[in-house]
Amino acid sequence: MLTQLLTNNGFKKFLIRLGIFLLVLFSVDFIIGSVLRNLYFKQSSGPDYETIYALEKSQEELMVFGSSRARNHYHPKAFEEALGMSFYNAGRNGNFILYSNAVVQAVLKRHQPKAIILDIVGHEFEYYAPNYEKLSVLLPFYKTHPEIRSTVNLRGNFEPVKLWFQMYPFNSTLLSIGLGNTQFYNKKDPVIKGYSPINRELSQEPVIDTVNLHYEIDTIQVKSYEQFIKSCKDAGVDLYIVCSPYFNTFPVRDKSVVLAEEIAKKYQVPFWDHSQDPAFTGNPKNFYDVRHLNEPSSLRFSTLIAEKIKSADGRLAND
Amino acid sequence: MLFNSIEFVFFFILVTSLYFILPHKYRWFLLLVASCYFYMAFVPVYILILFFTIVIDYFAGIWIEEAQGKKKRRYLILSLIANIGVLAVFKYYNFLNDNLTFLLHGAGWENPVPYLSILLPIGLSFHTFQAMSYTIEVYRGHQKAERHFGIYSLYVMFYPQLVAGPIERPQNLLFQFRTEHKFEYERVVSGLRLMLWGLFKKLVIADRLAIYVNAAYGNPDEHTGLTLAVATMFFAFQIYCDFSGYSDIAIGAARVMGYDLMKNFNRPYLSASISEFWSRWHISLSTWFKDYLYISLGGNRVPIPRWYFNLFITFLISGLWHGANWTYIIWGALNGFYLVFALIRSRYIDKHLENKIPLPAWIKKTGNILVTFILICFSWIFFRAASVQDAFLIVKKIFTFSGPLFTDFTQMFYGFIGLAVLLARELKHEYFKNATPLLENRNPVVRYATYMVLIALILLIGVFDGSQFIYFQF
Repeated sequence: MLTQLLTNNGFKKFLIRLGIFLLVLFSVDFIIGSVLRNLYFKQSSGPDYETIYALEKSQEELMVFGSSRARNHYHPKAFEEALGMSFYNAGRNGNFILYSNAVVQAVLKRHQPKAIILDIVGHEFEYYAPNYEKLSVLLPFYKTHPEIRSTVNLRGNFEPVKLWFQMYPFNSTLLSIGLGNTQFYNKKDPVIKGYSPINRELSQEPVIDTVNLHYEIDTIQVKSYEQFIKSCKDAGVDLYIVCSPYFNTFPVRDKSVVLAEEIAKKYQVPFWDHSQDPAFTGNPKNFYDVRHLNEPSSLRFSTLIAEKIKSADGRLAND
Repeated sequence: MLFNSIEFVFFFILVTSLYFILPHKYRWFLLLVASCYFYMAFVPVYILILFFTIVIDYFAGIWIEEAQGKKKRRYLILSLIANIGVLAVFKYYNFLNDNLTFLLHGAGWENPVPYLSILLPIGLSFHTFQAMSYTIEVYRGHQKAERHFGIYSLYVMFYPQLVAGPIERPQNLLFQFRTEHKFEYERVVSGLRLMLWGLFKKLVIADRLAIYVNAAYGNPDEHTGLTLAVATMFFAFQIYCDFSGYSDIAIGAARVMGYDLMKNFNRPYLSASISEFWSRWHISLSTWFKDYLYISLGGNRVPIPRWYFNLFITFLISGLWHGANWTYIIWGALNGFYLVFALIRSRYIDKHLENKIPLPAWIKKTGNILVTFILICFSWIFFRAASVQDAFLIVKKIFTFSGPLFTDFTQMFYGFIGLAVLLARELKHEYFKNATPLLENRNPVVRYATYMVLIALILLIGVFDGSQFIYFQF
């Protein structure tokens, strides 16, 4: 039957045309992929630019990792003034421990900050599929940063196969690449050393937040958190883990925060839970929305953390 | 296994290659094993349910053919009870129980009937309907009973259309498993093209629009009427591209191996009336209901009130077929109402208005297309909403039309690129049939350029989160 198939003229024609098709496809893919890669790494503003900076260029002594809460809560001015260290905030909106861990691996490979703050959120270790999908922001670095590959591969078994295509790492980035090569992002939302100030006051009263208290813990994200801690310790970096304030109150401590604290204790890493700090929580004047502090409060909160770091370990302060 | 996964690409290449390498007499076995593997990639144990209905319908078919008179009818009823029974247990039991609880609770009683903690087997409504069409056709004498158990099993389980159709008829499919299909270049390429277009519709349009739709419909309380109206229009295209994308991949995959499956969609949003819409949307299900329910109820060869009733009840049951929820029942009822109203209007109103409004034909047609689209969009609100309460809230908000539009610029930008390509292709195929085609162009440069643009758009703006097809849940 195989011989019959091989002598079938239609099959021969198909094989030849398939060969041509694949050749054209991979050539076009290579050209468009290369152009996009070039434009991607030439960006001068926007979230992708900030990730590029954190992964490949950052040389700061103090770095902050985490989600949008990290990005909006840790003000460079407070840390630079209190600790006298250069500062960069590598938090990224909508990305959590898996992303932070991948970025810290890339940073530690080429540079050793003096200190790192990891901001964790409530429900940090909850299984949530989009946490894996959002690792797509690391795809452009897959080729050049082997240290992040194991994290990116968590997106699915066939991620390396999809990466045969040079265009795939730039999926859904066309618009951001275009805008990132202009000053659009800088004009729209000015960012100061990775910190993004947001200004508004809430106009609502706090409630007791009882949303999904009994969620499933995702062991992969817990392992990623442990790896983050171990890597910092192995590199001799002073690590501080913080849960920054929320607007609403919780009837019980969040399971992820409790677990994160236990693990931090195991590795003798300072863990500061400010999620229900009465100096911030419950006061609408402090918050932009229920999860994010506004700029004046973030400055106040950053000063508080900077002072804690200073008193926790005097050798960090240059003054 | 999802059509929009890398696993499926490998599966398809392997099965199709083996299919053409193996001698014809072994091909049914290959396809059956492949189909079992394909189905078991979801929830393996549910293959036992399929096996149960296959065994019943296989023997019922033979007994129906051999029996005479009332016995023949009894065997058909046995087959229908088995199929509908499986649907009733797995799909409707908890829904009925919920409603019973509600009624008993109103009277102050507790419901003693326990709930079943079961997942709905994937594509259950599709393969049970396909199985039922077999025994009904044997009963009607339109199809000979299939004696080969493997080939009959393959009729129910043929992997391209196993979980979301098209719902085939035995006269169209069974004989094809006995026909030897040789490798035909044109057929293979045409099948692959259709698969590419289906993938484009699913990844670039449906899954992209779904991001906006899910955000709005997931939280209707917090969104404005304008946002919900836009989300509803996006959902109309999402569900069309999701389901017709699946059908294109299914028809294309079957075509590559030499099988012809029935067309399931025919540019439905260019319909100028609701009845035209239903002759272009999910054609395999619409014709199933027409052939086996509407006509069995008497169709239109009955007194006019009964005709309207037949039409309405057919759509009501079609709504229930989609899901065990009042939202689907209302959706079906609404479409039934549209059709009955259209009949009444054409009978009593239109003939008095005919030629009284002097408008060019193209304006009338465009107006009719827009009105049909708006009516269908309105019914989609009930199809998509999580509950009846949500649906009415959305309707209320849309009609008050207050507040700004939630603008997710990135998703909208990519979504509109996909929609522009879709619209161009649909308009070309509907109104400019003689215009130069792109995907099928004779000039290889144009053809290859079109392939490349589609693939580049899939890679650059497609959504690769491995989301399921909406109709799998039915």
